[in-house]
Amino acid sequence: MLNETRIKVRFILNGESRNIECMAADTLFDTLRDSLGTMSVKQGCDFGGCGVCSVLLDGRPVYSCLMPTWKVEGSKIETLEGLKGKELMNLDAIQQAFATNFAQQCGYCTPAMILNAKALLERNPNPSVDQIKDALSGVLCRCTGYMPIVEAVMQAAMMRRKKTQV
Amino acid sequence: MRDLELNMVFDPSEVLRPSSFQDAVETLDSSDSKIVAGNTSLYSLARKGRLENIKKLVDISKLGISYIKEAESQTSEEKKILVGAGTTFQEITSSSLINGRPEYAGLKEALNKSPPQIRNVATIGGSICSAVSFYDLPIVLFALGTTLKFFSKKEGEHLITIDSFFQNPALYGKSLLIECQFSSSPNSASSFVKLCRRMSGYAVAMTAARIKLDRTSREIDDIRLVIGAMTKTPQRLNQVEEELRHKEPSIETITRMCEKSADLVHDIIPSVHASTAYKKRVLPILLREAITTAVERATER
Ligand SMILES: Cc1cc2nc3c(=O)[nH]c(=O)nc-3n(C[C@H](O)[C@H](O)[C@H](O)COP(=O)(O)OP(=O)(O)OC[C@H]3O[C@@H](n4cnc5c(N)ncnc54)[C@H](O)[C@@H]3O)c2cc1C
Ligand code: FES
Ligand code: FES
Repeated sequence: MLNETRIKVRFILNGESRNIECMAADTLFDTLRDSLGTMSVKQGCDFGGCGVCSVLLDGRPVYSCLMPTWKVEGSKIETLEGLKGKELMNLDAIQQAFATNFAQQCGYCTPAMILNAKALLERNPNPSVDQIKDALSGVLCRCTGYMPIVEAVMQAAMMRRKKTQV
Repeated sequence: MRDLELNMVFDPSEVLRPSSFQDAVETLDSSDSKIVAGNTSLYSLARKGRLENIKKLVDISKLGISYIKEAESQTSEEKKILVGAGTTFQEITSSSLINGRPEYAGLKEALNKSPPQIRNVATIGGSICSAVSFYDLPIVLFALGTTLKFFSKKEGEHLITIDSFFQNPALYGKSLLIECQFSSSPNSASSFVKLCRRMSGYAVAMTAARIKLDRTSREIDDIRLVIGAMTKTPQRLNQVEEELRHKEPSIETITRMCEKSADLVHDIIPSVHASTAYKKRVLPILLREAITTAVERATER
């Protein structure tokens, strides 16, 4: 018989405080999608091989399929739902750059790519192509061939730098 | 919603958060408890059916073992670095104690092989205590001659060499790894060479080298060579080391010794991606690259 012991966990999800209960084996992926409805978080492999379940934990990308929910107690979690910009269709600079560079086809990897790009640009506003490739190396894209994604991140970096100069 | 498929093979009921080493090892007394550090390997162990009896997860994040610092008493010759077992790959690579230092260049190379999502959570302790031969970091730590500080119920805090750990990792199953210590000396450098199928993937074969050159003669004063993903546990190449010690590190000498290496390792095992014969072919090539890179780095100092 499966055990029913529940653990209380508090964390901030996209700026909002959340109090939830989970089992010791529950993954952050299951909690985010099934209990909290953040549907931008995708699943490909469930073992750290595809990266589409990436979310930001205290500003750094992690695989939510490998993260136990109890471990995020007191942390800040960001998903694509937390990204809001003021420009066209309320898109963030990285989202805009993805759209203009055709950096998505099926779009399944896109939320994870954007979050990984965000984590990079917040720490390094002017990354090299190699640094971008390294930052995105933990997410697989089966459609684009990666170059439009790298170009989108370069453009987003430029847009963000321009904005901070104004 | 619960992942019922996972829960059939992994259904722990509590998370324990000990605040002292003593409390942590007490929890390891029972066979139904398991230490959790970054957790990057736990679900995969569970899906292989290896955690079926685990009921208690032991979270070691409250033990104050996430740090990287220089040891207090240092000689000008040798500088010792202490890394808490709970320190993440990312915390190590961003440390000024590691960055830009040829003696730790191999360490940085190994740490940067895994994707950022892993580097942000995986710990040095979890990487060593997994005790497998195909993880990158332990291979370099082995080449650096790392000393491991364990805590056990019987012995309290005690130091062992990484060489003894890899001779029989099962001996330390009920112990807590608390710290890794490695030192550098002038004229020394390290390197790491990995053959893998994709940028962030497990090694088909790999080698790490740490070399110290004699200050005046520029001969090899000390050398440690380690191979990974070839034998069941990481292995030192004692005979090749012996043959290169006190020799001038010319490319001819290095090439000649490396060519012998494949015959000196008897227990190479195949994997899904490479046969034993293939691994034997690549071993001298990877080894030569690791040695020449380390020599170049040590020479530039
Ligand atoms: C997608 C993916 C990609 C990867 N890529 C690479 C790669 O390119 N190169 C590479 O080398 N590795 C790679 N890894 C492996 C990764 O490095 C290991 O999973 C990680 O180092 C384990 O550390 P952890 O802190 O997550 O340990 P955990 O998963 O929490 O624990 C691992 C084991 O060690 C035990 N343990 C942990 N800490 C201690 C301690 N202090 N004392 C005693 N026992 C302890 C645990 O009980 C468990 O048995 C990858 C893993 C994944 C999932
Ligand atoms: S679902 Fe593939 S890495 Fe998490
Ligand atoms: S756009 Fe389809 S997987 Fe990347």
